Amino acid sequence: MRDDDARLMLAFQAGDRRAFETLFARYTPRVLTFLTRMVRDRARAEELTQDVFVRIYNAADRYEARARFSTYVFGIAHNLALNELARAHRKHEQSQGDLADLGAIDPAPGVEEQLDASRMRVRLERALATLPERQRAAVLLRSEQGLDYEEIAGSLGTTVSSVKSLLHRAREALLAALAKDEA
Amino acid sequence: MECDRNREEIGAFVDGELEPAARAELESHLETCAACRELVARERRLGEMFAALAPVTASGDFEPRFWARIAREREAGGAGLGARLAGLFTLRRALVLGAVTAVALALALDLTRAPSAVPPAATATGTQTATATAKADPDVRIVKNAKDFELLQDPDMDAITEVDVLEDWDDASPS
Repeated sequence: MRDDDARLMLAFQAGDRRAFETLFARYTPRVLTFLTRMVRDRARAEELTQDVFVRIYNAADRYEARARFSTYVFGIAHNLALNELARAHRKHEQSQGDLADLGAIDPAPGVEEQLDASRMRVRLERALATLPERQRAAVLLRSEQGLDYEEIAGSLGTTVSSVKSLLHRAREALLAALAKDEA
Repeated sequence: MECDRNREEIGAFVDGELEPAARAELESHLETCAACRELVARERRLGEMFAALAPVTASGDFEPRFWARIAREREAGGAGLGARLAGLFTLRRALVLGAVTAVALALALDLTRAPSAVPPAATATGTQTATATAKADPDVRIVKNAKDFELLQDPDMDAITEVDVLEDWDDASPS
């Protein structure tokens, strides 16, 4: 499978540095946003984003366009995020939180609309932080980065069926957390 | 009001991931099921909340820092293949891989020749070096068996995971 970005990567592989610069400019904000929400540390996310592109740059001669380029990029970013979170767990032994006590989904519609946009963003980011890592990654890649299920499956190293399940559980948990936050 | 319809399907519908036939069938169901319509509406509102999240922007020196890092690695490792290897084999990794290689060679010789063919001191030095590196650097993880060691030889390994360190090889290897 070859998309435009994969073609750019192949051009870089053939020696076109401007192709890499285009990819770098195109993906830096997306990767940085994804990693910031994953590790919840802006400065560390920036370092990890640099790591992602250094790896892409250094491994260019081994690149194969077997999947969409976004799958390749976010796969690396996801692995680095998991390594970083594992390091943080070892250092601080912090729990990602237990969703079991977050309560049932509030069936009442319209609660979100009662809040202003900035407060809503804070609430969503706080709710995201309570998700298990893979659920968080799946929902960020889908709902914020716009990857399709197949791309997410490739990035997370899992199946489309598993992605569907991860997204379902993530969204249920988010809605529950948002409802609890509202209460 | 409840509906026992598969909720994963609702999410896939909102994401545009249902096959045409399944999508048409669900759309027909939604015409008569208020509970599922509400689920669709909630999923869409959640999507709108994500859309309202502001993307994170990089600091002003992000790109110069990246190219400076690439330049440092190229200087350290030379051009072409050397530059790539420089990205993979940092000093720490080179030290670790050297220790791993030494112990692996010692093990191979130990298995194919007399047990005394490998000077015990050489094996101990390699293992101690790797162990010391692992203990000194929390980023370094431990290779505990031959399968893990094979992963070090995966050409894509550096884009997937961290380089590991051999420790207690004798415990993991066949006696």
